Amino acid sequence: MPVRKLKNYAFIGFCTFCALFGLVVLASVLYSLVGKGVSGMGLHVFTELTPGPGSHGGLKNAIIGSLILTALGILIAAPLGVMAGTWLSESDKSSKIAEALRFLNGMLMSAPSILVGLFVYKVVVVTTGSFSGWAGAIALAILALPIIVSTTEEMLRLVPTTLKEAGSGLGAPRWRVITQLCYRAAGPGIITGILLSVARITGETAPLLFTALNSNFMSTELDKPMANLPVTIYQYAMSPFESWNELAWAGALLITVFILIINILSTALPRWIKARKAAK
Amino acid sequence: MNMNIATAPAATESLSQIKTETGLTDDLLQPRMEINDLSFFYSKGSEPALKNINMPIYNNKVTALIGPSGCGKSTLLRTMNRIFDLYGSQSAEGEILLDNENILQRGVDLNELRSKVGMVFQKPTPFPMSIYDNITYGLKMKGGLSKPEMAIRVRKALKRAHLWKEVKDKLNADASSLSGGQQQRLCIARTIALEPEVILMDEPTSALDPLATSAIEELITELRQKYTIVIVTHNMQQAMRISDYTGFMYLGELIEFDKTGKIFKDADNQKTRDYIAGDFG
Amino acid sequence: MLLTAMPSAIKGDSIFYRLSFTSAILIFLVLIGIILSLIDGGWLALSEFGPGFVFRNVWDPVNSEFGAASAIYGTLVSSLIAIVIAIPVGLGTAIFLAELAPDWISRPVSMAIELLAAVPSIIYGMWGLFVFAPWFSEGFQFWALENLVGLPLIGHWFDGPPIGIGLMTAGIILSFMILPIITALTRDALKTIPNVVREAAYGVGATPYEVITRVLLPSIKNAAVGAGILGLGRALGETMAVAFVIGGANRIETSLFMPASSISSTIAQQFNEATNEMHISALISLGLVLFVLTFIVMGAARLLLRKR
Repeated sequence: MPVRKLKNYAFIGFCTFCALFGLVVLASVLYSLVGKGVSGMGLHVFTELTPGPGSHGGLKNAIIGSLILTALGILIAAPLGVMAGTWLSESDKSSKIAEALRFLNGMLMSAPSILVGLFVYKVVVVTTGSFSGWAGAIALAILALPIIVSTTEEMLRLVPTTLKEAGSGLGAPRWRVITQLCYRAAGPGIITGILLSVARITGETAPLLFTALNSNFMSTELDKPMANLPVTIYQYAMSPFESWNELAWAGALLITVFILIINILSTALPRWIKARKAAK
Repeated sequence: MNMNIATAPAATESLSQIKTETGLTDDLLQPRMEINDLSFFYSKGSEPALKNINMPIYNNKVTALIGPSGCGKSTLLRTMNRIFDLYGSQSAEGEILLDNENILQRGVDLNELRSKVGMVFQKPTPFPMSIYDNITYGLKMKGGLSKPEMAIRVRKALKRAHLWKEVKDKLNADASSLSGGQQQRLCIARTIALEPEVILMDEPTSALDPLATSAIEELITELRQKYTIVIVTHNMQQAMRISDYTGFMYLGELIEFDKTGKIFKDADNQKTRDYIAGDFG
Repeated sequence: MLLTAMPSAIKGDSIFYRLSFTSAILIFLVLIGIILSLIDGGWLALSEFGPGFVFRNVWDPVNSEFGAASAIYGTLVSSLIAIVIAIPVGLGTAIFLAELAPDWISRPVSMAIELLAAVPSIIYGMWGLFVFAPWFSEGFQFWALENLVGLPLIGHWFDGPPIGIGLMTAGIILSFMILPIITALTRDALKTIPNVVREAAYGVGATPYEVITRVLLPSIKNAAVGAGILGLGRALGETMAVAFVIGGANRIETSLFMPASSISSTIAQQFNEATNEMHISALISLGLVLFVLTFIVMGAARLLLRKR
């Protein structure tokens, strides 16, 4: 066989191997996640509080705490992010300020999440004098913000200019054109962006370590440390106790399944909305 | 853009006959809008895209703007309701009088202006909402109408746009479910629901099939009785069929403006004659 | 008549503009806030140890002696290992998906690779500690100790305890985490190349290998390099996955099997236990160093990816 052909087959073999490599890693992660997660799973995970060292219990307070922190984080980030994205999309193409803000938004998106944790620690925890649910929610909001900003801008830029001109042409002021026409047209895309940011912050652990901290109690008070899944998983997984390790795997499975559902929703929901509209 | 000149004179003749038969002598007509020394710039310090345009827009007439692409006919149209104001860098100099008021001056309420000078675009631009809400959108902006009054307006506008029969049973359906021609008639209905004085149309049939096109043309001819219409078109037969006055533009200048019959039969300017004859464009 | 402006509309516009502009400025404020709070928090340590803090190889909380060298070393080496693995594998996967595999294979495989990106980092950490590390110890480290230590130049890399965790394990786990982003970006870049280019190249009788390496890859050079740097940036700042498997020792060792520490893992593991001011300040200074590192790397990636 000529050298050319040999080289070609070796190359194709290498590329195929690379793709298989990624698949094997994914399979192994999912296999251990499901295998170990399911064996630790049960009703007790949802009904019992996080246990003390070495004893048995569940993740009820951590699950509820995580839901609160994530929801609050998104509630803070979504309006701000959508507004900021709107400003960027409406700004002149030549605007230097917009260009700078776009760059900074990119930097914020790629800033290590642990630094966001340090920032919120300095600004919120040190100032108020205690770790708190608020601090955790703010840290998560800062992580979600740049994702929402950039998807909102992208989606609004896809709205045809003729639609805006038609709205203005009927005598609608600019802000009404944006809120009533552009948001409606870009709505599904913006929702996708928000859902993706939910998926991103759900598993975030580092920024919660020194903001929301963690707690073994059931608490919904936002000015106290709040239990949450990621930090609980971290602590329980790193511990020598078998029962804690089991709970950590159960929690990991829960988070991953939740993120998968959000990811699927983020692509399915816009399609579903469109389909429903067309059917009406 | 090749057209058959042989048929042109005959068609115009019949149209001008109709015109004289309707009684009004054109010379006595009052202009609804007057464009005086208008120049337009896409950005500060750039070459003007419109140079010293002077032209009247007569009341209850259809005025067509023709010319090769890039000649500035759409740009001229877009100054008449100041839709160009959406883009910060663009500016116009000169005067456009609407009922003897200069719409280019500072302090003009653009939203008010645009409810008086409506616009229909090249591609249908249905809003992402129901058919009914599409029509009421501008009305709600303007305010002052009760719900039943609004419903009456919607019906009237849809009837006048020849769309009522097709949509009366699905007013709550999404506007995007309509066909292209229906969408364009919806956009016209949306504009006339505001009862504007002038309607600007930017190549309103260029995205439509021949059947939908003729429906719109018929509609325009009818609307003339109530509204003043300015239409940009790249289709010279269309200009001939539906317009009373025609302006020929070339490289940002208004080369010639006259009654449609005159422009197409024996234009004064050689360039106009060449364009009509299909020598360029 | 036209001049009697509707004040409500103009007011609405200006309120809306101000609201949206303020929100946009918030991005700037947050970023500035991060920088200022890191400088402020790290000031104590930075003024005590001076700019030499970056190069000091000491981390002794008991005697309050701190330097960033070992953490920077751990961060850089683990990230380097990650991109050395992830760039060729990611590129190969991208080529497989965009050029070689038929649609019915490449579509589900693409989705699977994207799934890999959705898995949160803490789960990679757990998987690394409980699943990968034991396997790595049994399957590679013992063999490496017997067969690779004797090699010239690189032999000492493998001279360490085969306990499964350490610098190399951290680098490998990181490579799994940045694999999806590198794959996705280069795959998308390959897909933007118009088909006529491929047809022209295959038309002269070239093999897929020749077409891809001589025609397609050179034309996406910028995007591929940008993707690699973006992956590097991700790896530099990644915290949880590393914290599980790097071992947590603030030392510089030439062996990649030895436990070590990265900047982010040091902060994550020590911040809540640090009691004296200097320790906290030194940890925040580490954060500042990490910020500067990622800012440079990510800025470079963004510039490269933009100029496509």
